[in-house]
Amino acid sequence: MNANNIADPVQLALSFLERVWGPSHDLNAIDELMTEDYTITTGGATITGRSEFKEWVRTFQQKLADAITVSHETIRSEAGDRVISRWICSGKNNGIFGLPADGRNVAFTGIAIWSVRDNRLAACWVERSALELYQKIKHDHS
Amino acid sequence: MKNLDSLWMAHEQLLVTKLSGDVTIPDIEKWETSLYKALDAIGDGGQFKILVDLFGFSAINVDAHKRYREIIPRTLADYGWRVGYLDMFQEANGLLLTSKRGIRCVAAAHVHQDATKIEKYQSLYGTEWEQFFTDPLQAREWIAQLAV
Repeated sequence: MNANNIADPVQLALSFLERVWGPSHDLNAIDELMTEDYTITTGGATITGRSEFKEWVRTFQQKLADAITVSHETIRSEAGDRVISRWICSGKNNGIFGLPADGRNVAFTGIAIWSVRDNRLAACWVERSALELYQKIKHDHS
Repeated sequence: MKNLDSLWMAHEQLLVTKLSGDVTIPDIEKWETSLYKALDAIGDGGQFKILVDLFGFSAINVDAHKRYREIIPRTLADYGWRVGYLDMFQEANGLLLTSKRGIRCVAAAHVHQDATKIEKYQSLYGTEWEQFFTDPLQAREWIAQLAV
């Protein structure tokens, strides 16, 4: 929070990536950092609601063991109502994207755009290099 | 684009600080403020690990570089930590290590894209508790697995 008690959007995004997608997988941080009606749109689907999002993350992290995401770059809008991160996520394939679990180290890059409301992350749109990773693993298993 | 941010994560006892882009002296001062603010969030008598992520950092001129280069060593010295590469600089011999509010830094990971420099630092100054990386992911994984 700054002197006006307004959360810095970059701090929100970094906190989310470091705490939820860092090694500790601190899913309780979602309650602190996201609005109750948080939505995420990714891979052609939209997940609505903080609890549903938490479950989605939990499932994802089960399929990507030891997942770690690091933000390479964060950008805040001048108005402070948007924040963007360019990141890389790595982990061990435990059935990611519906593929056979083989324990191999995998990584994919992505860009997330969040809207900020009431000092929390309110909505997110993510594009990631999932198809490239999917094709590579699938090819190796064929 | 510049990153000038620091974050204290109490549950991991980890402070992450990021400085990147072509930075000016005002940028460095802003980042420095974020670093101090994150340090202020650590409770008295605590211990912390630090990830100094300078991936993509480049000082815009010599003055900016001079303004930057003492911040991490001097700041960490206030928390009982002597950054390994200080051994290269004779003027750092007299640097006094103290423990502000009883807080101590116990491990450090440093990231920068300059492979030549990082490899040199790692070979000369890498220890069980301090490592130098060109890959932010590897640095994050390494510092995370260190038990405080």
